[in-house]
Amino acid sequence: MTLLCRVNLPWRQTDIDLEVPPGTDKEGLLALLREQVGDAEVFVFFNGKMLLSGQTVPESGEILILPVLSGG
Amino acid sequence: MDASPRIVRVNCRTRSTGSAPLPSDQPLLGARALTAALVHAEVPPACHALGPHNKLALACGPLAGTLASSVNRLSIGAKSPLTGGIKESNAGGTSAYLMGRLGIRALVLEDMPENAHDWAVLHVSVDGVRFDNGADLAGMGVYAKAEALFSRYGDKVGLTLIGPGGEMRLHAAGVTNADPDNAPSRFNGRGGLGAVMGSKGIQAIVWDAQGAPRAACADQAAFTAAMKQLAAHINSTPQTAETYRKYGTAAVMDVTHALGALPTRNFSLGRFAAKDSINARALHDAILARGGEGRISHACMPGCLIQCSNVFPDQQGKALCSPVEYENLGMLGSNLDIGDLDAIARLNRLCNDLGCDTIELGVALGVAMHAGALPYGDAAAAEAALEEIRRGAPLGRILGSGAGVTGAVFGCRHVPVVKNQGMAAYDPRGVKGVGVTYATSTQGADHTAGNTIRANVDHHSPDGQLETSRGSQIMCAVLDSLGCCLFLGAALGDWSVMLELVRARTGVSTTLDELKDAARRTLRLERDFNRRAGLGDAHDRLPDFMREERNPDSGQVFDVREADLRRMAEI
Repeated sequence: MTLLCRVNLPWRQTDIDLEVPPGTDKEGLLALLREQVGDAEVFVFFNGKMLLSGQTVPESGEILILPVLSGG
Repeated sequence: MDASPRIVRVNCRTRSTGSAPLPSDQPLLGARALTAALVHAEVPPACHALGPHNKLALACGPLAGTLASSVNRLSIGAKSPLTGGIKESNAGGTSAYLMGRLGIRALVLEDMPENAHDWAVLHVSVDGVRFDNGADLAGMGVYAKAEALFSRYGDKVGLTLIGPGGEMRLHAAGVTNADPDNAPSRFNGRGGLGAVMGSKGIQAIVWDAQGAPRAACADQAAFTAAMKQLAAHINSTPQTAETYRKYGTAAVMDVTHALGALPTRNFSLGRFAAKDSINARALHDAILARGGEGRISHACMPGCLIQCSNVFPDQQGKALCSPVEYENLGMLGSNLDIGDLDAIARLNRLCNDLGCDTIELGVALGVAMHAGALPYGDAAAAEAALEEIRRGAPLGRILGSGAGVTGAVFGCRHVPVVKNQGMAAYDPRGVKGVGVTYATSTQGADHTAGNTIRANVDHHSPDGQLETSRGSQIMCAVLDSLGCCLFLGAALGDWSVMLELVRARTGVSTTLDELKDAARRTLRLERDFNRRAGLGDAHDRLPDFMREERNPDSGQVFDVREADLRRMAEI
């Protein structure tokens, strides 16, 4: 499936159409995004909800990548 | 290590001083753990917070005085005039570093002068503590006061001072510390501690470590090696090396916005239409484009490598405010429907100059706007209202008394406070673990008591939030009690480097589990103080509107069961 992925890190902002195999979990998704995200620890949002470790990427919707912070 | 770190006591009525060594069986006791222990043991919980029986305890951690990164935070504790309970608020700056150099683990201000206008400056040096006349400083803003103090005492000292808010004993008044550039920019902001310092008749504490020896370590070679290892950890952790260092805490705004948890128009909304005008990217780009004195990265305390602070310049490149952080952008920006970085920075600077907490004043202004006393989005009106604080005018005194009083005066029930303290820039309906922390923390609504934003949980679900908040509250108390910055936690991994730093500095081997046990004891002491001060289960809750009004952007109400909140007492 092809999903719109918005990478919104302060140092990198880009929209890409990402080919995501069905059943991909958060970790698998981040592996697919390695070129865009690198080693950064990131939050993954899917349709406004945070995707948690181990959760499977739904088949339709929009991915948003944001930086992980301990707080502000 | 220094032979025996001391606890210095200053009687503000008799102007006498004394000191005693830190209890030899508690060599790691410091910072929040020490202020909590002192306040719990020595302050009658039912006393008036601005009376002679309250004490203001300033304490550093066991690593203070060294140049290890991010270990020189100053904790200040007392009974809070704002919450009526125990309070600890910590800040960067040079004060704790210089305390460590002077071999002082805590300085305790006791009693109060008979004449409320008998202002003094405390000069603390290798020769002891001296009272100097501080009458000429009364009425000055924090920036002018700091300049006058550096002019008087030289630029090698550190400062802990109050502003007009503290002089007026306003409950939103904080305590300010000078940073390594001698800018008065680091704030023990929360809970009205500036009012307590003002009640003691102390305008400023001058930390003068000239002539003091270098901070000694039990094992200097091991300490140096651990410092280097810590630096390597910080420089190889993306969060500390990349995000905080280049974009500061403002980078969290996109996350809270995505969660529908960015306070907007007095916590009526969770997303701000003008977010992209005030987020980390906008801040970073504006600072770089303007150049001059602006800096995207800045160390708030000696030795810090994270450097999440910044200097925001005006259009001409002259420093306007340092730092401009997420909480300022949220509470003085989106919460007031103000989407202009310059306007926010001016409001921020004004709060700083008044010596008042930007969060509390931001919440109070939001409540006043919600009640119709001020227009949303009108930065000039907000600035004018804050200037009323400087004049001691009624509106200023209302706002300066905090969001709870502001809500009461204007008959508004939409008042985002817990234990009378204004919420920080996390709407608890969108980050429910933070809501649990707000509700159950001994400190009132304080995100730094246990932020859960980083946790691998569904922030919109009520499930699991109690455990997440509890874990975060304990870890925050661990870091607070070591005098460490909370942001260091991201780079500590298995904690072996931190434990080695502690061992090499103090000669005491400990474990993370032991530190967590000590943190639990501190939290229990704080809770016991609050209970005896009259704060019980009924105060461990969020305001009704958070449970009844769905935030349209998160789609959430705060629905963690109150019975679950009660279980936090089992900490």
